[in-house]
Amino acid sequence: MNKNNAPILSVKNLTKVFKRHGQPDFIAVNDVSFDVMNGECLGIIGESGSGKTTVANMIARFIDATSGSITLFGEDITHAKGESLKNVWRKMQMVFQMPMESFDPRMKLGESIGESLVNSGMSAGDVKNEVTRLLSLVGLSAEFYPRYPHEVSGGQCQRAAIARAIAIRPAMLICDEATSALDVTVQSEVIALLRRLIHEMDMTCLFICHDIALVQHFCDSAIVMQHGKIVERGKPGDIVRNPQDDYTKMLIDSVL
Amino acid sequence: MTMENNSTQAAATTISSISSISTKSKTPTIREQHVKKKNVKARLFFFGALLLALLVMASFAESFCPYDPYAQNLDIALQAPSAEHIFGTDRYGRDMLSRVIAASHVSIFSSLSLVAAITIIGTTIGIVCGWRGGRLDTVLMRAADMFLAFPGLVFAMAVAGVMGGGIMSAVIALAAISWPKYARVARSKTLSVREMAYMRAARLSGSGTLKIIVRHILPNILTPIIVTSMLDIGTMMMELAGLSFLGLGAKPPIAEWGSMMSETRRLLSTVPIAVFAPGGAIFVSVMIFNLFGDALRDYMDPKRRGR
Amino acid sequence: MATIETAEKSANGANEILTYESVDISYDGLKVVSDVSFALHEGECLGIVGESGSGKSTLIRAAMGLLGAGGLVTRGDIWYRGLDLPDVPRDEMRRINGEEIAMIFQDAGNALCPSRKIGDQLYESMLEHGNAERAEFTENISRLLERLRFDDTDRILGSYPFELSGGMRQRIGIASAMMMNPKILLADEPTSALDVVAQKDVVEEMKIIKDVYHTSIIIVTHNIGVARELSDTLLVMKDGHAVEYGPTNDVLTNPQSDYTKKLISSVIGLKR
Repeated sequence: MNKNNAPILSVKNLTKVFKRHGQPDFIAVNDVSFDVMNGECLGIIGESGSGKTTVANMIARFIDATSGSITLFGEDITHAKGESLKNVWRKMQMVFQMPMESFDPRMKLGESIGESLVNSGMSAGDVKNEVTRLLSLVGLSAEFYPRYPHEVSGGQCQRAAIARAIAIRPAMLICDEATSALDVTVQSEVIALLRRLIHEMDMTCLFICHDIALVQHFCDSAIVMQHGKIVERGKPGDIVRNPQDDYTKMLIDSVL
Repeated sequence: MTMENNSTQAAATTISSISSISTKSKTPTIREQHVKKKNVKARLFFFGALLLALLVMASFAESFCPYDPYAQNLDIALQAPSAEHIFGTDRYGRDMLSRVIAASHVSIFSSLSLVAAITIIGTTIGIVCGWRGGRLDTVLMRAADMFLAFPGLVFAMAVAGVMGGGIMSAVIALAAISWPKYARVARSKTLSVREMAYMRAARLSGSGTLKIIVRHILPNILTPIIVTSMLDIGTMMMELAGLSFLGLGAKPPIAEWGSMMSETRRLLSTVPIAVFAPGGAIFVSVMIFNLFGDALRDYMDPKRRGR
Repeated sequence: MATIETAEKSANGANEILTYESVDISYDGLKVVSDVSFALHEGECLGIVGESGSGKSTLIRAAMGLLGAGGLVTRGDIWYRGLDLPDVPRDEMRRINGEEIAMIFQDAGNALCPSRKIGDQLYESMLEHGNAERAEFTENISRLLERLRFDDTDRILGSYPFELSGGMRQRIGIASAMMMNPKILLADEPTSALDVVAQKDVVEEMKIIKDVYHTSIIIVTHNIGVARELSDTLLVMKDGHAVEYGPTNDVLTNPQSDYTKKLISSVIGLKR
């Protein structure tokens, strides 16, 4: 899949330590390094508490890294702030786990989807047309524009969330357990949609997921995290068939 | 009580018996369900209409008065209710009905402006504290605690006393002790809303702080604040009347329900209507505001709104 | 009305312990389950699978009288030992709940009181259903936990809930439902909130309950893997209707309805 040798996203020695009152510091992410190549889809597998979501939040710059560096398109974004951070977000978008909670309950879906377009200076009429196009791109009709999040199903809401994420044509998409809260039939549809869009729009993807089967199905390469550390990395098929680490073995054995 | 298993229990069932299930005889029991209709909307309209009527009366109070509420006529002082003076007259011969109606203007609009002021001030401070956090939050919230540390009405009396009475100083005194409640509600709601996933989504879309606060935070924290303020109007009306009753609010001869009760309290045994008329007016308007607030809360909570 | 039906029951279904007959359930006049019939036999594990909103949880809540305000079994019968459960008086139901039919929820582990030791809490819930000596209780609960393959039961009983992992708390929640040795265990998404490793542990625990205690189990889950692992029989629900019902193996290998086919094909399995 590598189209050229420079990684789109490069994470080096990333560490996050949470200070706690009266208790020893909690190391959520411990010296994590990985590269995501152009067009690649990298899966991060781990259970709750493994630090995988903290990694995503640091890359998306919602929280500061304690140490280490994050490079996006050759630019160091570890400490990006203000306007330069907004620039980062034009290249990198995110789909969250809980579809309903990722939409403002008092805004119409269409308004939420178009928010980034409005912020980038597009005129109101163009925004409306573009949002309608985006809705159809993710398999929703224009009827969904004026709906509120609680008026649609979880799957429809997640489709809208994907539409919002791709609205400004980011080069990089982070999916943080984007399909975990969905029913199986909906999950497979959303996975198919994501796969199509990533291919069509030539996006690079960081796919965070606790379901190793899903990562095997969806990703080109994968890393396994436990207690904030990377315990295994490689092609998902190789990891599943020939796990090296004891934790990975247990994880695979537990899949029913 | 025993935790031992019954080892004699039948072994796991064979699946073969399943097919017999659908051939069960006997018609199934039918149970009737009584669906309670929720009439939240009807209640909201009803009390909303009453509230509107009250506000219209308060706005054009003078023109509803049958007599001039300030015209003294000692010849007819202290009359019992009659066809001409339904609530009788006070000791200066002023028509009580006219005075009660005229007083609605001061009583209602002073409480409304008081509640509007504390809602805006408290909410603004609360949002700033919740959003910024840090030292500013600590300082403002400790200030709020300070205002809450005094017994409310006593503190308001002191403030009103220092400022020298008048309805304006009563309003300011009550505002000083009431804003922290709104600041606290707004702050805690802001703290929870800013952690929601949609806040991160909004930031990802490139919206700035001001836009996020106005478009995303304010609409999502407003419901409890509006409901609190609606329910507060009644309370504030009573407290203002209380301060006026104590002589720290509206000054005679201005018609105000609290001060009218204070003026006429000595007549309680002889002309009770002179006390009960303004008292009843307070009771009715407080009830209307509270019941409207209740209906509004139910309406704004989608879970109570029903289908 | 009970006597005739009791006779009929004992003649008809020798080992049916819980029977749903043409059950409709409505919330505030809206039907959420319609015309569902199935039977749970002694020692059987029945899996109810379906997606959110299919009415699968509502179905087993009805047996416990836990439909909540606005919910009612508007048609049909749920038979348990000659009793039509929807018509059983509340007091009688309270006795049946826990002692004869126990239920565990998705967040059973979080239902534990955070500020008291687990042993004390379990003892107290035991007292709710009658008297028990503390020493006897401790002996019994230790034996139960050992059978359910808990290590170090003394430490667990002396711990506060927050000192245990989420999976461990969930297993304790299930064990506490087994304290009264109920005839039927109803499990509502007992593994959905758990990581895969903990999910596996809970499934193993339920297997022991089934094999050692011969408790009849209904497990409601959206996870077909869990249902495959545990259940003898499978009921597939969609939009309040039962779309397929039969032995688990048959349903999964040779599904008849289109929906079941779609459901099974949607599962993304591990390619080992």
